Amino acid sequence: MDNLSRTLYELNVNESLLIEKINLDKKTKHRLLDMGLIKGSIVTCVFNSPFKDPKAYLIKGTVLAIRKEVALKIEGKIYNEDSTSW
Amino acid sequence: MKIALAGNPNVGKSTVFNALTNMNQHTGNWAGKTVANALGSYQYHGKKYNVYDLPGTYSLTTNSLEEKIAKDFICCEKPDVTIVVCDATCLERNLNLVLQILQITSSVIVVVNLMDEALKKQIEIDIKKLSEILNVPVIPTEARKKKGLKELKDIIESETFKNNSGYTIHYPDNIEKIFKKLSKKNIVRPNEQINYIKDNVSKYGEDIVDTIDKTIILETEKIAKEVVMFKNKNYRARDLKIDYILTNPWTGIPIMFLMLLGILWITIKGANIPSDILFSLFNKLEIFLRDITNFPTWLSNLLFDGIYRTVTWIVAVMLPPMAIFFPLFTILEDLGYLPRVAFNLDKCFKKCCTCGKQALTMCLGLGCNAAGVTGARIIDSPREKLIAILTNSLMPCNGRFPTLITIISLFLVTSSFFSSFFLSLFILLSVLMTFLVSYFLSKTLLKGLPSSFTLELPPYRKPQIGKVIIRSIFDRTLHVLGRAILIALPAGLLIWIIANIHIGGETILAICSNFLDPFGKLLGLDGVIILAFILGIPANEIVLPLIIMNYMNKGSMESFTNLMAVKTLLISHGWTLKTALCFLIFVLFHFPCSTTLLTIKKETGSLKWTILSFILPTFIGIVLCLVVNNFANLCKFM
Repeated sequence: MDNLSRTLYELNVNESLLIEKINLDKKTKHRLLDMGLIKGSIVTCVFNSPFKDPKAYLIKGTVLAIRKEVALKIEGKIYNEDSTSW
Repeated sequence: MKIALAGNPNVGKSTVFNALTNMNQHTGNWAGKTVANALGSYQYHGKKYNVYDLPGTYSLTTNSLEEKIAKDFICCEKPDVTIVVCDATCLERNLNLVLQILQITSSVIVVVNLMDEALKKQIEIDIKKLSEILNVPVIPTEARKKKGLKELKDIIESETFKNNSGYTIHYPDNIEKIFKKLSKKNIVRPNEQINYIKDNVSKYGEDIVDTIDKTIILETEKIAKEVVMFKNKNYRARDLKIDYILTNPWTGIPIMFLMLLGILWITIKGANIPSDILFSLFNKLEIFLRDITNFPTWLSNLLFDGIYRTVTWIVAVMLPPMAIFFPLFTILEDLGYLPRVAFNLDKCFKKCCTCGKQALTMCLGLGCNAAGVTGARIIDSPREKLIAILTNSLMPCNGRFPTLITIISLFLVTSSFFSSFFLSLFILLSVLMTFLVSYFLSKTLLKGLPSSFTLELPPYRKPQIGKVIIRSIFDRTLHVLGRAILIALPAGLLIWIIANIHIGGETILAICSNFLDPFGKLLGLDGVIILAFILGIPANEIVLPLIIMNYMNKGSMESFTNLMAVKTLLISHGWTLKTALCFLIFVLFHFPCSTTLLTIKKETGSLKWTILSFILPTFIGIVLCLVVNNFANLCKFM
C-alpha cells in the first residue's frame, strides 16, 4: 500500500481514492458535497471519456463525470479494499 | 390539499407525477428534464388533490435556480405534505435531500421509487426500518408500472403524516451549543438555524459550516448501512461494460455516428412507403372532392390549390418521418444514452469554453429548437447557458428534417442509405458550426473560462417501447404536426391570394419574389425561395410546400402524385445541383422559427440576445451560400 498523496485525476480505472483534501471554490465543493463527495469518502474511477477528460467516477452508487480541472484539486490516498463494495 | 413532489433529478419524479395525475409530463433518463414547476391534480374518493412537481435537486443548500424554486416552494407555499421521491438503486445519496427537507417540515412522505430496478440489481431495502428511523411513512413504488400508487394515495388521504414526529439530526456538541443559543434568540427550526449560521460564516467560521454539511452526509451513511443490503456487490458490472464500449476512444465516437446514421436511415427508409401512399391517397381524394363539391372555379382553386395541397403536403411529407424519428429518439433518451453523448463530447465543448451539457440541448434541438432552448436551463453558468441558447437553432429540428430529406433524395442521391449518410454529414456540419460559433462567442461577446462541470451518468434503464411509441406519437408528433397545419392553413391561403391578385399586370407574389430575386440569386437561390423562408418563420415545415405552390401558380405542374413530380417542377424553375446545395445549407442555417424566438426571449429576458439569435444563424447561412454559389460559378467558368 503506498501512502503517497494523489489527486483524483491521477487515478487509473478501477482504482479508489480516500479523499483527504478538496481545494475547490465553495460552489463546486457544494455540488460535490451534494453527491456525497466529502473528506473521508471513497471515490472510484470507473471509466474514461474518449479524450481522457472528463473521467467518470463512482461516488456512493452514482456515476459522476468530473473534468480534469476539478479532479486535479481533489486529493487523497489510494484506497485498497475491494472497491466494488462502494 | 396541496402536495409537493420533491426529489433528486432523474429518480422518476415526473413518472410519479404522471401516474398520480394521469398527465403527460415529459420524462426521460437524464438529470434535469423537469425545469419548471408543473401543476396537476387528481380526485380520490371525491376529494381533490393538487400536485406540484418541483424541479429535481440534490440538495436545498446551494443557490442554483432549481434549488431556490424547490426550497421556496416548501418553505413559503407550505404544502400540506411534501412527497420526497427517492431512487431505490442509490438511496444513500437521495437520503441527503430527505434529511434536509425533514429539517424544514415533518409533513413528509418518502417514496422509494424504481424498486424493480433495485430488485434487478439485487439491492434490498428494509422499508419498515427506514420508516421507523425517519419517523415518516415510506412507500415503495414502481411508478412506471403504477405499482404502489394506491398505497400512496391512501396514505395521503389518511393524513397520518400530520402526526409525524420528525427526524432530529445529532450534531457534534459544539454545534448543538450554537443551536441552543440560537433557540434562545427565537431561531427555532433546524433549517433556520443552519441558514443563520451559513449567513454569518465570518462569525462562526468555515469549519462549522463544513461540519454541519458533513454531519448530514455521515447521517445518511449511517441510515443507509441499516436499511440497504447489497446482495450482489457487482451489480454495476453490466452497466460498466456497456459504458466502457460507449465511451471508449476507439468505439465511443464511431458508435455515436453510427447511432445517428442508423436512426436517420430507419427514418428515411421507413418513411418512404407511407409517404407515397399518403400522396396518392390525397391526390385521389382531391379529384373526388373537386368532383362532388362543384364550387365556382376561383373558390375551388383557392381551396384546393391554396389550402388543400399545402396541408396535405405537410401531412404526407412530415408525418411519416416524425412518427418514426420521435419514438426512436425517445427510446435513446429513456435508455440513458444522451448523457453519454455529453460525456464523450465534453472535451470539445471545454475547448470552446462551454459546457458538455450543451450536447444535451443540441440533442433536444434535433427534436425541436424551442425544447432545446428551454432545456438549456440545466446548464448552471449563465454565460454557457446563453451560448447554448444562441447556438441551438444551428441544429436542424425535426420540422426541417423532412425538407432536408426530400431535397437530398431528389437531387443528391436516391438510395435511402446514402440519403441518411448525407443527412448525417449535414448534421455533422451543424455540430461543427455549433462548436465554431460557441468558440467565437466565448472569445468575443461572451468572454469567459469554462466553469467546472459535473454531470451524472444515470444507470441504463430498459425503455418501455410500447409506451414510448404511443407517447411520442401523440405528445410530440401530432403536436408538432398540428402546429404546422394550423400555420399552413392561413399561409397557404395568403400565398394563393397574393399569387392571384394583380397589381399593374403582375401578381403581388411576383412583385415580392422579383424584388427578392437579385438577393436570392446572389446566394444561389431565387426570390421565391427567400420569400418562402420569410413566410415560413411561424413554422419551418411549410417552406418547401410554399415554394412548390409558388412555382405551381406560375403554372406547370399538373399532377401532384409523387415526389418525382416535385423534382420536375423544381428543375423547370431553374433548380440545379447548386441550388439544391445552397437551399440545404440555408435550411440548416437561417433564422429560428417564431416559437423558438419567443422561447429565447422568455428564457433570456432580453431583446438584444433574441435579435442576435436571429442574426447569427442567418449570417452564417448567407456567408456559406455566397461561398458555395461563387465557388460553383467559378468552377463552371474554368
